[in-house]
Amino acid sequence: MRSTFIYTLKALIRERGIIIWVILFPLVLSTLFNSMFSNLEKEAYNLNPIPCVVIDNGNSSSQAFSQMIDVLSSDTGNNLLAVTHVTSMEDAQDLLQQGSVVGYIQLDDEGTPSLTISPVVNPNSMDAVNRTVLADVVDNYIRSRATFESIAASNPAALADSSVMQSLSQTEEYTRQISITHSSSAQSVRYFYALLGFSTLMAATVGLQAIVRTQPNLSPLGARRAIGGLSRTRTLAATIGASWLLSFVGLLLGFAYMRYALGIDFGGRDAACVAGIAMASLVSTALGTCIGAIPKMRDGAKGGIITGLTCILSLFAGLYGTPSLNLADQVARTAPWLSALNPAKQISDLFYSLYFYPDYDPFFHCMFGLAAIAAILAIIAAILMRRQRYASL
Amino acid sequence: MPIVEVKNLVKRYGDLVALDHLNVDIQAGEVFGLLGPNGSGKTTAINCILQLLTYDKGEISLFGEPMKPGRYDLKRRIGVVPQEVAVFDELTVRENIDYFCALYVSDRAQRAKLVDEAIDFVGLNDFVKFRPGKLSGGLKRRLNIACGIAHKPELIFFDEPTVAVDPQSRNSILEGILRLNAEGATVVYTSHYMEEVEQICSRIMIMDHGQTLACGTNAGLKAMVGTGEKIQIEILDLPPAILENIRSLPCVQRAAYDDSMLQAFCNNGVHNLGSILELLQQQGIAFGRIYSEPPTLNDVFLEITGKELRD
Repeated sequence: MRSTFIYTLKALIRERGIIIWVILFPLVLSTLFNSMFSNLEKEAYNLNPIPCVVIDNGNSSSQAFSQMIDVLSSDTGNNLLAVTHVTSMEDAQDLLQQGSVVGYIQLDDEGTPSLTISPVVNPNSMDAVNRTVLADVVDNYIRSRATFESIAASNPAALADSSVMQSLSQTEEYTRQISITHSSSAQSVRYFYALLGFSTLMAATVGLQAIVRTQPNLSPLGARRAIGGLSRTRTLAATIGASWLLSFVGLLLGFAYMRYALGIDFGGRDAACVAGIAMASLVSTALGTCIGAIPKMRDGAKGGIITGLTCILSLFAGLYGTPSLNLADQVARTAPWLSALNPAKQISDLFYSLYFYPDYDPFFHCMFGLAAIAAILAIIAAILMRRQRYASL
Repeated sequence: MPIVEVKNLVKRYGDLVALDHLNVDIQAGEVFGLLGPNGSGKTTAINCILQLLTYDKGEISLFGEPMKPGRYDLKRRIGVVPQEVAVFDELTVRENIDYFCALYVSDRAQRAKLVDEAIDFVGLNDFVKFRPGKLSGGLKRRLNIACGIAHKPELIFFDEPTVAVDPQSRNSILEGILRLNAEGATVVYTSHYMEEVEQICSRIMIMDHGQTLACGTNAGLKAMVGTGEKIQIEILDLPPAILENIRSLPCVQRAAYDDSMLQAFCNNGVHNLGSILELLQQQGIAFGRIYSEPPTLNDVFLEITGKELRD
């Protein structure tokens, strides 16, 4: 049995296709992902000055407002606004229609500002955030102005009190910021987790190749081994064990490369990640064994099934960019059972649960789901391989 | 006690009867030949004996024990050299032999010795680090054999081991089989090459359509047929009347003249050639080269089935 294990492992390691698809391909793909997504988080949360228009109508009562705008738009490197001053409503509307500004502010005769924003929002840009910030600037000004006017009307002397003025100019925070997640949310890590799900399914090739060589009805080599002196159970145990080990090492290499070479954040829970990879390898081996055991089908067709399954299931795990990620999330919300049956999604979720959630419950939930998938696949494989003798070879 | 005993084995593939009440009885120390054309049921019979295939009826015993799929104690006493080269393409010659030997022998030191002996036996010493893909067809066949015999089994099945092999490698394989037999192994050898079976087998079973047509020693099988001798004489011109005279000779069963060659199939006897030559000389017919051949297994097959073994 030991020799069967060792020689199966040697034979699999020397198979060029397995080295390429199971070990090298995930490394290459994760390197590409890294170069594609390295600036994603930085760009996503980098607030550039918000382009807006202020209509100068020469209203002397707008002096305070003008001062505020000057402060917010003075070029300090982290200024909030990038203001274009125009003198007519037509010019402001032209700029808004061109899409070069988020909105325009005009003052009425009493110096009260009103904001007009673009009706078109690009969902992939910071438009929505910019509109909220711009509206907040105007609202704050209106509130503060109303407060000052109210005090001036009821207690003008209070305006001379520097402590009152100071307290009015300060913003009190009555809330405390706490993190309810294990790590700060970063969208790009999900692609790497989905890539691990993809790699797991591709690693099913290992189990497929190994099992085809043990079955009398699948290969001459399988027939020869079946009439050898080692029991079928022990041959299968050694073969499946070798397949699992190779899948595990391949995925572990991929994980280590992402974690240590590319610096992908896995939530700092490496031991749990390794346990997750061990479980993923089990699913991979069970899937390969199951497909490998299908009778009367060429090896190439079986390999095609694995590749097809990998590509389709990875789509629903969010591997192929934002639309794929949105689709995966939508399926998870509307048909959670479908997501639960998708090993690529489960593996992706497993790593995300370690990254995102403070406790281990979601992780164990994913582990249980993967164990169930592995068990179902193993039972199907056992049914397909239960025969010891065949009606024909 | 027979080492292999098969009684009334029936195997059907749908309506096709692949083995039709086959009976086989192989004694220890024999080189037993299963001879028959392609599709006659030789490999099916072996696969049933080895419990790879299900069968509809019959009993199979090996070493006096009923053979079942889980009888690994019996399987450990058997070696199999399948028709197709069935080895790991990714392992070297030595690793392949070691792997198959390890299915029977767990002790590493003992196995190393057996592997060395198997490599010596098939003459692959210069290729131990080669992978099968780098070997010629003949060398692959030798590797296939080494993988089946390294553990020194008592009973070895060779299923057409010389298919697509050059004459030199074929002779080497046949000599090797005789050596294994001389060392004590009982050999079951299947082939559709009658020359090979004649050359190495001590007892031969001729099969067709899953049935046993005849079984016996080489000489015994040939004695079963009427043809005793095939005489061929080179004659430039043989008038039809003379051919008729030859056909009417008491010792001649049938005769034909084609392409300057007279072929006469004669009864068993010692004066067949003399009788024909005497007739030719009397008629003044000049002749050239003369060949006299004893009957072959093909003649046996022809007489029983009415068709050539190679058809």
